[in-house]
Amino acid sequence: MCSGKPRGDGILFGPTQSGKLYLSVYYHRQPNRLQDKCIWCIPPAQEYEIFSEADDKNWQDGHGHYWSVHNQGNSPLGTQDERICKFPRTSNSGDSWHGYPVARSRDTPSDDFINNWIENKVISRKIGRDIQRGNL
Amino acid sequence: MKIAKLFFPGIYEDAYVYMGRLFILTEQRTILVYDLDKLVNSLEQDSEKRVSGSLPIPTYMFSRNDWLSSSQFKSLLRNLGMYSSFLSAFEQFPQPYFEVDKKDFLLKEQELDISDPVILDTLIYNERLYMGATNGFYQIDITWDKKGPVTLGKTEKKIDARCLSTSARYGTVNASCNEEGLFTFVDDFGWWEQGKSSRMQTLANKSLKTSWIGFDIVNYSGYDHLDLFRSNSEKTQVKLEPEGRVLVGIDSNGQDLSYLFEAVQARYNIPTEKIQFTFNSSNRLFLHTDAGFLHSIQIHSENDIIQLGKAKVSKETTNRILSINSTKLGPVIETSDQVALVLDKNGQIFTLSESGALVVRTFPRSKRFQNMVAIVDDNGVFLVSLFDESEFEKKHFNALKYEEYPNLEEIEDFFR
Repeated sequence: MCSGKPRGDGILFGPTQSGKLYLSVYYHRQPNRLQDKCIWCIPPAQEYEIFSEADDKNWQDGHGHYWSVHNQGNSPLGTQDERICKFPRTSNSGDSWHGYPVARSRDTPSDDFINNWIENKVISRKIGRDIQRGNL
Repeated sequence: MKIAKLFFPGIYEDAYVYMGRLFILTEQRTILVYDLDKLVNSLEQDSEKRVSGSLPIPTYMFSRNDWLSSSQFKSLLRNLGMYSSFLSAFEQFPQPYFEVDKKDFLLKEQELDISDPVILDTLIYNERLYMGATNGFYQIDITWDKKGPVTLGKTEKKIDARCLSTSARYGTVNASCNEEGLFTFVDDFGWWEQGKSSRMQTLANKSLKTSWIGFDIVNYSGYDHLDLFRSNSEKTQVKLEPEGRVLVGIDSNGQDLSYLFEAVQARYNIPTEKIQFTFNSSNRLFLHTDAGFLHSIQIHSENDIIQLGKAKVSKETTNRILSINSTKLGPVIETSDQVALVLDKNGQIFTLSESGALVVRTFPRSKRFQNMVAIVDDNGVFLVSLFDESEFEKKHFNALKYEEYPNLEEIEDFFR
Protein backbone atom coordinates (compact mmCIF):
# COMPACT_ATOMS: atom_id res chain seq x y z
CA MET A 1 0.00 0.00 0.00
CA CYS A 2 1.11 3.56 -0.65
CA SER A 3 2.15 5.74 2.25
CA GLY A 4 1.10 9.34 2.38
CA LYS A 5 2.45 12.51 3.92
CA PRO A 6 0.48 13.81 6.90
CA ARG A 7 -0.37 17.50 6.89
CA GLY A 8 -2.72 19.72 8.85
CA ASP A 9 -5.95 18.80 7.07
CA GLY A 10 -5.28 15.21 6.05
CA ILE A 11 -2.82 12.77 4.48
CA LEU A 12 -1.52 13.59 1.02
CA PHE A 13 -1.01 10.79 -1.53
CA GLY A 14 0.11 10.66 -5.13
CA PRO A 15 0.56 11.56 -7.78
CA THR A 16 -1.59 9.05 -9.65
CA GLN A 17 -0.54 7.85 -13.10
CA SER A 18 -2.29 10.86 -14.60
CA GLY A 19 -0.54 13.22 -12.15
CA LYS A 20 -3.35 13.88 -9.66
CA LEU A 21 -2.66 14.44 -5.96
CA TYR A 22 -5.09 13.03 -3.41
CA LEU A 23 -5.81 14.24 0.10
CA SER A 24 -7.45 11.86 2.55
CA VAL A 25 -9.12 14.55 4.60
CA TYR A 26 -9.48 14.16 8.34
CA TYR A 27 -13.04 15.51 8.44
CA HIS A 28 -14.33 12.46 6.60
CA ARG A 29 -12.80 10.28 9.28
CA GLN A 30 -14.11 11.97 12.42
CA PRO A 31 -17.75 11.09 13.09
CA ASN A 32 -18.28 13.93 15.55
CA ARG A 33 -17.38 16.60 13.06
CA LEU A 34 -19.90 15.67 10.37
CA GLN A 35 -23.64 15.27 10.67
CA ASP A 36 -24.18 13.68 7.27
CA LYS A 37 -22.55 10.40 8.27
CA CYS A 38 -20.22 10.10 5.24
CA ILE A 39 -17.30 8.64 7.16
CA TRP A 40 -14.77 6.24 5.64
CA CYS A 41 -14.40 2.82 7.22
CA ILE A 42 -11.30 1.89 5.22
CA PRO A 43 -7.69 3.05 5.79
CA PRO A 44 -6.49 6.25 4.05
CA ALA A 45 -4.07 4.31 1.81
CA GLN A 46 -6.94 2.15 0.51
CA GLU A 47 -9.01 5.29 -0.01
CA TYR A 48 -6.23 6.56 -2.26
CA GLU A 49 -6.00 3.25 -4.16
CA ILE A 50 -9.74 3.41 -4.83
CA PHE A 51 -9.34 6.95 -6.14
CA SER A 52 -6.39 5.87 -8.31
CA GLU A 53 -8.46 3.09 -9.85
CA ALA A 54 -11.25 5.56 -10.68
CA ASP A 55 -8.66 7.87 -12.24
CA ASP A 56 -6.93 5.06 -14.20
CA LYS A 57 -10.24 3.71 -15.53
CA ASN A 58 -11.71 7.15 -16.11
CA TRP A 59 -14.84 6.59 -14.02
CA GLN A 60 -15.75 10.23 -14.43
CA ASP A 61 -19.26 11.54 -14.98
CA GLY A 62 -20.42 14.38 -17.19
CA HIS A 63 -19.89 16.90 -14.37
CA GLY A 64 -16.24 15.95 -13.92
CA HIS A 65 -16.74 14.03 -10.65
CA TYR A 66 -15.08 10.65 -10.21
CA TRP A 67 -16.92 7.70 -8.64
CA SER A 68 -15.57 4.40 -7.40
CA VAL A 69 -16.30 1.14 -5.59
CA HIS A 70 -14.28 -1.53 -3.82
CA ASN A 71 -14.51 -5.26 -4.51
CA GLN A 72 -17.24 -4.74 -7.14
CA GLY A 73 -19.37 -2.92 -4.60
CA ASN A 74 -19.52 -5.92 -2.30
CA SER A 75 -17.44 -4.30 0.44
CA PRO A 76 -18.54 -1.33 2.47
CA LEU A 77 -16.59 1.91 2.17
CA GLY A 78 -18.28 3.91 4.89
CA THR A 79 -19.49 3.45 8.42
CA GLN A 80 -23.11 3.39 7.20
CA ASP A 81 -22.37 0.52 4.79
CA GLU A 82 -22.00 2.87 1.84
CA ARG A 83 -20.81 0.99 -1.24
CA ILE A 84 -19.89 3.81 -3.60
CA CYS A 85 -17.78 6.90 -3.12
CA LYS A 86 -17.55 10.25 -4.82
CA PHE A 87 -14.51 12.38 -5.62
CA PRO A 88 -15.95 15.80 -6.48
CA ARG A 89 -14.38 17.81 -9.27
CA THR A 90 -11.71 20.21 -8.01
CA SER A 91 -12.04 23.94 -8.52
CA ASN A 92 -8.59 24.23 -10.08
CA SER A 93 -6.71 21.63 -12.10
CA GLY A 94 -3.69 21.70 -9.74
CA ASP A 95 -5.74 21.19 -6.55
CA SER A 96 -5.51 17.91 -4.73
CA TRP A 97 -8.61 15.70 -4.92
CA HIS A 98 -10.55 14.34 -2.02
CA GLY A 99 -13.54 12.02 -1.64
CA TYR A 100 -16.12 10.44 0.63
CA PRO A 101 -18.56 7.54 0.71
CA VAL A 102 -22.09 8.46 -0.34
CA ALA A 103 -25.21 7.42 1.52
CA ARG A 104 -28.18 5.77 -0.12
CA SER A 105 -30.50 7.83 -2.26
CA ARG A 106 -28.63 11.05 -1.53
CA ASP A 107 -25.91 11.62 -4.08
CA THR A 108 -25.35 8.90 -6.61
CA PRO A 109 -24.08 8.79 -10.19
CA SER A 110 -26.58 8.86 -13.05
CA ASP A 111 -28.51 5.75 -14.03
CA ASP A 112 -26.62 5.53 -17.32
CA PHE A 113 -23.32 5.70 -15.41
CA ILE A 114 -24.40 2.81 -13.14
CA ASN A 115 -25.75 0.83 -16.11
CA ASN A 116 -22.37 1.28 -17.80
CA TRP A 117 -20.65 -0.06 -14.68
CA ILE A 118 -22.99 -3.08 -14.72
CA GLU A 119 -22.35 -3.69 -18.42
CA ASN A 120 -18.59 -3.56 -17.86
CA LYS A 121 -18.87 -5.78 -14.78
CA VAL A 122 -17.43 -3.16 -12.47
CA ILE A 123 -20.38 -3.96 -10.20
CA SER A 124 -22.99 -6.73 -10.26
CA ARG A 125 -26.52 -6.09 -11.50
CA LYS A 126 -27.74 -6.57 -7.93
CA ILE A 127 -25.44 -3.92 -6.49
CA GLY A 128 -26.26 -1.58 -9.37
CA ARG A 129 -30.00 -1.90 -8.91
CA ASP A 130 -29.67 -1.49 -5.14
CA ILE A 131 -27.80 1.77 -5.71
CA GLN A 132 -30.37 2.97 -8.26
CA ARG A 133 -33.26 2.05 -5.96
CA GLY A 134 -31.64 3.91 -3.07
CA ASN A 135 -31.16 0.75 -1.01
CA LEU A 136 -27.37 1.11 -0.83
CA MET B 1 -40.94 -24.88 7.77
CA LYS B 2 -41.98 -26.54 4.51
CA ILE B 3 -40.56 -24.62 1.57
CA ALA B 4 -41.29 -25.39 -2.09
CA LYS B 5 -39.80 -23.48 -5.00
CA LEU B 6 -40.49 -23.03 -8.70
CA PHE B 7 -37.59 -21.69 -10.74
CA PHE B 8 -37.90 -19.73 -14.00
CA PRO B 9 -34.36 -19.38 -15.40
CA GLY B 10 -33.41 -16.22 -17.31
CA ILE B 11 -32.08 -12.69 -17.00
CA TYR B 12 -34.93 -10.84 -15.39
CA GLU B 13 -35.54 -7.56 -13.59
CA ASP B 14 -38.77 -8.05 -11.67
CA ALA B 15 -41.64 -10.46 -11.04
CA TYR B 16 -45.21 -10.17 -9.76
CA VAL B 17 -47.94 -12.70 -9.04
CA TYR B 18 -51.54 -11.60 -9.64
CA MET B 19 -54.75 -13.54 -10.27
CA GLY B 20 -53.09 -16.84 -11.10
CA ARG B 21 -50.55 -15.31 -13.46
CA LEU B 22 -46.87 -14.70 -13.02
CA PHE B 23 -45.64 -11.49 -14.66
CA ILE B 24 -41.89 -11.30 -15.32
CA LEU B 25 -40.08 -8.17 -16.49
CA THR B 26 -37.16 -9.12 -18.73
CA GLU B 27 -33.89 -7.30 -19.24
CA GLN B 28 -35.02 -6.56 -22.83
CA ARG B 29 -38.00 -4.64 -21.40
CA THR B 30 -40.68 -7.17 -22.29
CA ILE B 31 -43.28 -8.68 -19.97
CA LEU B 32 -43.64 -12.45 -19.85
CA VAL B 33 -46.99 -13.71 -18.59
CA TYR B 34 -47.09 -17.27 -17.25
CA ASP B 35 -50.21 -19.26 -16.47
CA LEU B 36 -49.56 -20.44 -12.92
CA ASP B 37 -52.78 -22.45 -12.75
CA LYS B 38 -51.87 -24.42 -15.90
CA LEU B 39 -48.39 -25.01 -14.52
CA VAL B 40 -49.81 -26.26 -11.23
CA ASN B 41 -52.22 -28.60 -13.04
CA SER B 42 -49.33 -30.07 -14.98
CA LEU B 43 -47.32 -30.56 -11.77
CA GLU B 44 -50.32 -32.29 -10.23
CA GLN B 45 -50.57 -34.70 -13.17
CA ASP B 46 -46.86 -35.54 -12.91
CA SER B 47 -47.20 -36.02 -9.20
CA GLU B 48 -50.24 -38.29 -9.67
CA LYS B 49 -48.23 -40.46 -12.08
CA ARG B 50 -45.52 -40.92 -9.46
CA VAL B 51 -47.73 -41.47 -6.43
CA SER B 52 -51.37 -42.16 -7.12
CA GLY B 53 -53.85 -40.55 -4.74
CA SER B 54 -51.37 -38.30 -3.02
CA LEU B 55 -52.39 -34.90 -1.68
CA PRO B 56 -52.22 -32.04 -4.23
CA ILE B 57 -49.13 -30.31 -2.88
CA PRO B 58 -48.47 -28.10 -5.96
CA THR B 59 -52.02 -26.72 -5.66
CA TYR B 60 -51.65 -26.09 -1.94
CA MET B 61 -48.31 -24.40 -2.33
CA PHE B 62 -48.61 -22.45 -5.60
CA SER B 63 -52.24 -22.02 -6.50
CA ARG B 64 -54.25 -21.90 -3.28
CA ASN B 65 -51.85 -21.40 -0.46
CA ASP B 66 -54.68 -19.66 1.42
CA TRP B 67 -56.16 -23.15 1.93
CA LEU B 68 -53.14 -24.09 4.03
CA SER B 69 -54.05 -21.51 6.63
CA SER B 70 -57.79 -22.22 6.58
CA SER B 71 -59.41 -23.65 9.68
CA GLN B 72 -60.76 -26.60 7.65
CA PHE B 73 -57.29 -27.57 6.47
CA LYS B 74 -55.79 -27.15 9.92
CA SER B 75 -58.55 -29.30 11.31
CA LEU B 76 -57.71 -32.03 8.77
CA LEU B 77 -54.02 -31.94 9.64
CA ARG B 78 -54.78 -32.44 13.31
CA ASN B 79 -55.51 -35.99 12.26
CA LEU B 80 -52.20 -37.88 12.39
CA GLY B 81 -52.97 -39.95 9.28
CA MET B 82 -53.79 -36.87 7.21
CA TYR B 83 -50.72 -35.10 8.51
CA SER B 84 -48.48 -38.05 7.65
CA SER B 85 -50.02 -38.15 4.14
CA PHE B 86 -49.32 -34.45 3.78
CA LEU B 87 -45.68 -34.90 4.78
CA SER B 88 -45.11 -37.83 2.43
CA ALA B 89 -46.80 -35.97 -0.44
CA PHE B 90 -44.62 -32.94 0.26
CA GLU B 91 -41.50 -35.10 0.07
CA GLN B 92 -42.40 -35.89 -3.54
CA PHE B 93 -42.07 -32.24 -4.52
CA PRO B 94 -38.70 -31.67 -6.24
CA GLN B 95 -36.02 -30.13 -4.02
CA PRO B 96 -34.35 -27.69 -3.94
CA TYR B 97 -36.71 -26.46 -6.68
CA PHE B 98 -38.71 -27.41 -9.76
CA GLU B 99 -37.33 -25.77 -12.90
CA VAL B 100 -40.04 -24.56 -15.26
CA ASP B 101 -39.59 -24.98 -18.98
CA LYS B 102 -40.26 -21.55 -20.45
CA LYS B 103 -42.20 -22.78 -23.47
CA ASP B 104 -44.87 -24.79 -21.74
CA PHE B 105 -46.73 -22.28 -19.64
CA LEU B 106 -45.87 -18.95 -21.20
CA LEU B 107 -49.07 -17.24 -22.31
CA LYS B 108 -47.59 -14.18 -23.90
CA GLU B 109 -44.52 -11.98 -24.24
CA GLN B 110 -45.27 -8.29 -24.76
CA GLU B 111 -43.15 -5.22 -25.33
CA LEU B 112 -43.19 -2.68 -22.53
CA ASP B 113 -43.47 0.85 -23.83
CA ILE B 114 -41.22 2.48 -21.21
CA SER B 115 -37.74 3.49 -22.29
CA ASP B 116 -36.43 4.81 -18.95
CA PRO B 117 -32.98 3.44 -18.03
CA VAL B 118 -34.31 1.43 -15.05
CA ILE B 119 -37.68 0.22 -13.76
CA LEU B 120 -37.43 0.79 -10.01
CA ASP B 121 -40.71 -0.67 -8.74
CA THR B 122 -43.72 -2.63 -9.99
CA LEU B 123 -47.24 -3.05 -8.65
CA ILE B 124 -50.37 -4.67 -10.06
CA TYR B 125 -53.55 -3.44 -8.45
CA ASN B 126 -57.14 -3.68 -9.66
CA GLU B 127 -56.03 -5.11 -13.03
CA ARG B 128 -53.72 -2.18 -13.62
CA LEU B 129 -49.94 -2.31 -13.84
CA TYR B 130 -48.09 0.55 -12.15
CA MET B 131 -44.39 1.13 -12.65
CA GLY B 132 -42.00 3.46 -10.90
CA ALA B 133 -39.08 4.25 -13.17
CA THR B 134 -36.12 6.56 -13.36
CA ASN B 135 -37.98 9.16 -15.43
CA GLY B 136 -41.53 8.80 -14.25
CA PHE B 137 -44.44 6.97 -12.70
CA TYR B 138 -46.53 5.01 -15.20
CA GLN B 139 -49.79 3.10 -15.42
CA ILE B 140 -50.81 0.45 -17.93
CA ASP B 141 -54.31 -1.03 -17.99
CA ILE B 142 -54.45 -4.77 -18.49
CA THR B 143 -57.15 -6.40 -20.59
CA TRP B 144 -57.90 -9.54 -18.71
CA ASP B 145 -59.19 -12.68 -20.38
CA LYS B 146 -59.75 -15.09 -17.51
CA LYS B 147 -59.02 -18.13 -19.68
CA GLY B 148 -56.49 -16.72 -22.11
CA PRO B 149 -53.57 -14.35 -22.25
CA VAL B 150 -53.67 -10.88 -20.81
CA THR B 151 -52.95 -7.85 -22.97
CA LEU B 152 -51.18 -4.70 -21.88
CA GLY B 153 -52.85 -1.45 -22.90
CA LYS B 154 -51.39 1.94 -23.62
CA THR B 155 -48.71 3.27 -21.27
CA GLU B 156 -49.61 6.52 -19.52
CA LYS B 157 -47.16 8.65 -17.59
CA LYS B 158 -48.79 9.87 -14.39
CA ILE B 159 -45.86 11.79 -12.95
CA ASP B 160 -42.74 13.16 -14.56
CA ALA B 161 -40.33 12.39 -11.70
CA ARG B 162 -38.04 9.57 -10.62
CA CYS B 163 -40.30 7.16 -8.75
CA LEU B 164 -38.57 4.89 -6.22
CA SER B 165 -41.56 2.93 -5.01
CA THR B 166 -45.32 2.62 -5.15
CA SER B 167 -48.10 1.18 -2.99
CA ALA B 168 -51.88 0.92 -3.29
CA ARG B 169 -54.97 0.17 -1.22
CA TYR B 170 -58.63 1.17 -1.14
CA GLY B 171 -58.51 2.60 -4.65
CA THR B 172 -55.63 4.93 -3.77
CA VAL B 173 -52.15 4.73 -5.26
CA ASN B 174 -48.96 6.26 -3.84
CA ALA B 175 -45.84 7.19 -5.77
CA SER B 176 -42.72 7.91 -3.69
CA CYS B 177 -40.46 10.22 -5.67
CA ASN B 178 -37.63 10.87 -3.19
CA GLU B 179 -36.79 14.61 -3.04
CA GLU B 180 -39.68 15.44 -5.38
CA GLY B 181 -42.18 14.20 -2.85
CA LEU B 182 -45.03 11.81 -2.22
CA PHE B 183 -47.79 11.90 -4.81
CA THR B 184 -51.06 10.21 -3.97
CA PHE B 185 -53.85 9.44 -6.44
CA VAL B 186 -57.05 9.28 -4.41
CA ASP B 187 -59.81 7.07 -5.87
CA ASP B 188 -57.72 6.32 -8.94
CA PHE B 189 -60.45 4.11 -10.41
CA GLY B 190 -63.49 6.28 -9.73
CA TRP B 191 -65.07 3.83 -7.29
CA TRP B 192 -66.71 6.55 -5.21
CA GLU B 193 -69.82 7.49 -7.11
CA GLN B 194 -70.22 10.87 -5.41
CA GLY B 195 -66.64 11.97 -5.99
CA LYS B 196 -64.31 13.16 -8.70
CA SER B 197 -62.06 10.29 -9.65
CA SER B 198 -58.27 10.24 -9.43
CA ARG B 199 -57.42 13.40 -7.57
CA MET B 200 -53.68 13.82 -7.15
CA GLN B 201 -52.46 15.12 -3.81
CA THR B 202 -48.88 15.97 -2.93
CA LEU B 203 -48.67 14.77 0.66
CA ALA B 204 -44.99 15.26 1.47
CA ASN B 205 -41.87 16.92 0.14
CA LYS B 206 -39.77 13.79 0.47
CA SER B 207 -40.64 10.12 0.20
CA LEU B 208 -38.54 6.97 -0.04
CA LYS B 209 -41.47 4.59 0.31
CA THR B 210 -44.96 4.29 1.77
CA SER B 211 -46.84 1.69 3.71
CA TRP B 212 -50.22 1.49 5.40
CA ILE B 213 -51.70 1.29 8.87
CA GLY B 214 -55.30 0.33 8.20
CA PHE B 215 -56.78 3.04 6.00
CA ASP B 216 -53.98 5.50 6.71
CA ILE B 217 -50.78 6.09 4.75
CA VAL B 218 -47.34 6.03 6.35
CA ASN B 219 -44.72 8.05 4.50
CA TYR B 220 -41.03 7.28 5.00
CA SER B 221 -39.01 10.40 4.30
CA GLY B 222 -36.10 8.64 5.99
CA TYR B 223 -35.68 5.33 7.79
CA ASP B 224 -36.05 7.13 11.10
CA HIS B 225 -38.68 9.65 9.99
CA LEU B 226 -42.25 8.49 9.47
CA ASP B 227 -45.41 10.54 9.03
CA LEU B 228 -48.95 9.20 9.22
CA PHE B 229 -51.61 10.64 6.91
CA ARG B 230 -55.12 9.97 8.12
CA SER B 231 -57.84 9.23 5.58
CA ASN B 232 -61.61 9.07 5.20
CA SER B 233 -63.24 6.17 3.44
CA GLU B 234 -66.62 5.15 2.06
CA LYS B 235 -68.13 1.79 1.24
CA THR B 236 -67.80 0.60 -2.32
CA GLN B 237 -69.45 -2.22 -4.22
CA VAL B 238 -66.40 -2.89 -6.38
CA LYS B 239 -65.57 -6.56 -5.99
CA LEU B 240 -62.29 -6.96 -7.85
CA GLU B 241 -60.05 -5.93 -4.98
CA PRO B 242 -61.85 -7.35 -1.95
CA GLU B 243 -61.32 -4.30 0.25
CA GLY B 244 -64.90 -3.05 0.46
CA ARG B 245 -64.01 0.60 0.94
CA VAL B 246 -62.53 3.40 -1.07
CA LEU B 247 -60.56 6.36 0.29
CA VAL B 248 -62.32 9.62 -0.44
CA GLY B 249 -60.03 12.07 1.27
CA ILE B 250 -56.62 12.25 2.93
CA ASP B 251 -55.59 14.79 5.54
CA SER B 252 -52.67 16.66 4.03
CA ASN B 253 -51.20 17.36 7.49
CA GLY B 254 -49.18 14.33 8.44
CA GLN B 255 -48.78 13.21 12.03
CA ASP B 256 -45.08 12.94 12.88
CA LEU B 257 -44.46 9.46 14.28
CA SER B 258 -41.06 10.31 15.78
CA TYR B 259 -42.59 9.77 19.21
CA LEU B 260 -42.69 6.07 18.39
CA PHE B 261 -38.90 5.98 18.18
CA GLU B 262 -38.67 7.81 21.50
CA ALA B 263 -41.05 5.27 23.00
CA VAL B 264 -39.03 2.42 21.52
CA GLN B 265 -35.90 3.83 23.14
CA ALA B 266 -37.58 4.36 26.50
CA ARG B 267 -39.40 1.04 26.58
CA TYR B 268 -37.07 -1.32 24.76
CA ASN B 269 -33.71 0.41 25.08
CA ILE B 270 -33.18 0.69 21.32
CA PRO B 271 -31.52 4.06 20.57
CA THR B 272 -32.83 5.74 17.41
CA GLU B 273 -29.31 6.24 16.07
CA LYS B 274 -28.78 2.47 16.22
CA ILE B 275 -31.77 1.77 13.97
CA GLN B 276 -30.62 0.82 10.50
CA PHE B 277 -33.92 0.01 8.78
CA THR B 278 -37.60 0.55 9.53
CA PHE B 279 -40.75 -0.92 8.06
CA ASN B 280 -44.33 -1.38 9.20
CA SER B 281 -47.35 -3.49 8.46
CA SER B 282 -50.81 -2.56 9.73
CA ASN B 283 -50.13 -4.10 13.13
CA ARG B 284 -46.34 -4.29 13.48
CA LEU B 285 -43.37 -1.98 13.44
CA PHE B 286 -40.13 -3.65 12.33
CA LEU B 287 -36.81 -2.15 13.37
CA HIS B 288 -33.43 -3.53 12.38
CA THR B 289 -30.50 -2.31 14.43
CA ASP B 290 -26.79 -1.89 13.77
CA ALA B 291 -26.28 -4.92 16.05
CA GLY B 292 -28.14 -7.00 13.44
CA PHE B 293 -31.32 -7.88 15.34
CA LEU B 294 -34.78 -7.44 13.86
CA HIS B 295 -37.29 -6.19 16.42
CA SER B 296 -40.96 -6.73 15.69
CA ILE B 297 -43.20 -4.52 17.83
CA GLN B 298 -46.99 -4.62 17.88
CA ILE B 299 -48.71 -1.34 17.04
CA HIS B 300 -52.31 -0.32 17.46
CA SER B 301 -54.31 2.87 17.26
CA GLU B 302 -55.79 4.28 20.47
CA ASN B 303 -57.63 7.60 20.46
CA ASP B 304 -56.08 8.34 17.06
CA ILE B 305 -52.58 7.84 18.44
CA ILE B 306 -50.42 4.92 17.35
CA GLN B 307 -49.27 3.01 20.42
CA LEU B 308 -46.63 0.32 20.91
CA GLY B 309 -47.47 -3.14 22.18
CA LYS B 310 -45.46 -6.26 22.86
CA ALA B 311 -42.17 -6.84 21.08
CA LYS B 312 -40.26 -9.79 19.75
CA VAL B 313 -36.75 -10.01 18.43
CA SER B 314 -35.10 -12.25 15.86
CA LYS B 315 -33.15 -15.18 17.25
CA GLU B 316 -30.14 -14.51 15.07
CA THR B 317 -28.48 -11.43 13.70
CA THR B 318 -28.43 -10.58 10.02
CA ASN B 319 -26.48 -8.19 7.85
CA ARG B 320 -27.84 -4.78 7.04
CA ILE B 321 -31.39 -4.99 5.69
CA LEU B 322 -32.16 -3.68 2.22
CA SER B 323 -35.89 -4.42 2.14
CA ILE B 324 -38.67 -5.99 4.20
CA ASN B 325 -41.86 -7.49 2.80
CA SER B 326 -44.78 -8.95 4.76
CA THR B 327 -46.23 -12.44 4.64
CA LYS B 328 -48.84 -13.95 6.94
CA LEU B 329 -46.06 -15.93 8.64
CA GLY B 330 -43.80 -12.96 9.26
CA PRO B 331 -41.54 -10.48 7.50
CA VAL B 332 -39.29 -11.56 4.65
CA ILE B 333 -36.01 -9.69 4.89
CA GLU B 334 -33.53 -9.02 2.13
CA THR B 335 -29.87 -8.44 2.96
CA SER B 336 -26.86 -8.24 0.67
CA ASP B 337 -26.25 -11.97 1.02
CA GLN B 338 -29.60 -13.65 1.70
CA VAL B 339 -33.38 -13.56 1.63
CA ALA B 340 -34.99 -14.96 4.77
CA LEU B 341 -38.28 -15.33 6.59
CA VAL B 342 -38.35 -14.19 10.20
CA LEU B 343 -41.14 -16.24 11.74
CA ASP B 344 -43.53 -13.97 13.62
CA LYS B 345 -44.31 -16.37 16.40
CA ASN B 346 -40.79 -16.92 17.66
CA GLY B 347 -38.27 -14.86 15.70
CA GLN B 348 -36.64 -17.88 14.07
CA ILE B 349 -34.96 -17.18 10.74
CA PHE B 350 -35.46 -19.43 7.68
CA THR B 351 -33.21 -18.80 4.71
CA LEU B 352 -35.12 -18.69 1.42
CA SER B 353 -32.19 -17.74 -0.81
CA GLU B 354 -28.50 -17.85 -0.04
CA SER B 355 -27.61 -15.14 -2.50
CA GLY B 356 -28.61 -11.54 -2.73
CA ALA B 357 -31.69 -10.65 -4.75
CA LEU B 358 -32.44 -8.02 -7.34
CA VAL B 359 -36.04 -7.84 -6.15
CA VAL B 360 -38.09 -9.53 -3.43
CA ARG B 361 -41.89 -9.39 -3.53
CA THR B 362 -44.67 -10.77 -1.35
CA PHE B 363 -48.44 -10.66 -1.78
CA PRO B 364 -49.99 -10.51 1.69
CA ARG B 365 -53.17 -8.79 0.46
CA SER B 366 -53.87 -11.38 -2.21
CA LYS B 367 -56.39 -14.12 -1.60
CA ARG B 368 -54.41 -17.07 -2.94
CA PHE B 369 -50.74 -16.16 -2.53
CA GLN B 370 -50.44 -14.84 1.01
CA ASN B 371 -47.43 -16.96 1.92
CA MET B 372 -45.64 -16.80 -1.39
CA VAL B 373 -42.42 -14.93 -2.10
CA ALA B 374 -41.08 -13.98 -5.53
CA ILE B 375 -37.30 -13.64 -5.56
CA VAL B 376 -35.51 -12.32 -8.65
CA ASP B 377 -31.78 -12.93 -8.72
CA ASP B 378 -29.03 -13.04 -11.34
CA ASN B 379 -30.14 -16.52 -12.48
CA GLY B 380 -33.89 -16.07 -12.76
CA VAL B 381 -37.10 -15.93 -10.77
CA PHE B 382 -37.87 -18.19 -7.81
CA LEU B 383 -41.43 -18.52 -6.59
CA VAL B 384 -41.15 -19.67 -3.00
CA SER B 385 -44.14 -21.01 -1.10
CA LEU B 386 -44.11 -21.42 2.68
CA PHE B 387 -46.03 -23.57 5.12
CA ASP B 388 -45.40 -23.60 8.86
CA GLU B 389 -46.07 -27.13 10.09
CA SER B 390 -44.73 -26.58 13.61
CA GLU B 391 -48.12 -26.61 15.38
CA PHE B 392 -48.89 -30.06 13.93
CA GLU B 393 -45.42 -31.37 14.79
CA LYS B 394 -46.04 -30.23 18.32
CA LYS B 395 -49.46 -31.84 18.49
CA HIS B 396 -48.59 -35.16 16.88
CA PHE B 397 -45.06 -35.73 18.06
CA ASN B 398 -44.90 -33.43 21.05
CA ALA B 399 -41.85 -32.00 19.34
CA LEU B 400 -41.22 -28.45 20.35
CA LYS B 401 -39.72 -27.74 16.97
CA TYR B 402 -39.43 -24.01 17.50
CA GLU B 403 -39.19 -22.96 21.09
CA GLU B 404 -41.49 -20.21 22.20
CA TYR B 405 -39.56 -17.02 22.48
CA PRO B 406 -40.00 -14.60 25.36
CA ASN B 407 -41.15 -11.05 24.86
CA LEU B 408 -38.49 -8.42 24.65
CA GLU B 409 -39.31 -7.06 28.08
CA GLU B 410 -38.15 -10.34 29.52
CA ILE B 411 -34.82 -10.41 27.75
CA GLU B 412 -33.86 -6.79 27.50
CA ASP B 413 -30.94 -7.29 29.90
CA PHE B 414 -29.34 -9.37 27.19
CA PHE B 415 -28.96 -6.30 25.01
CA ARG B 416 -27.55 -4.01 27.65
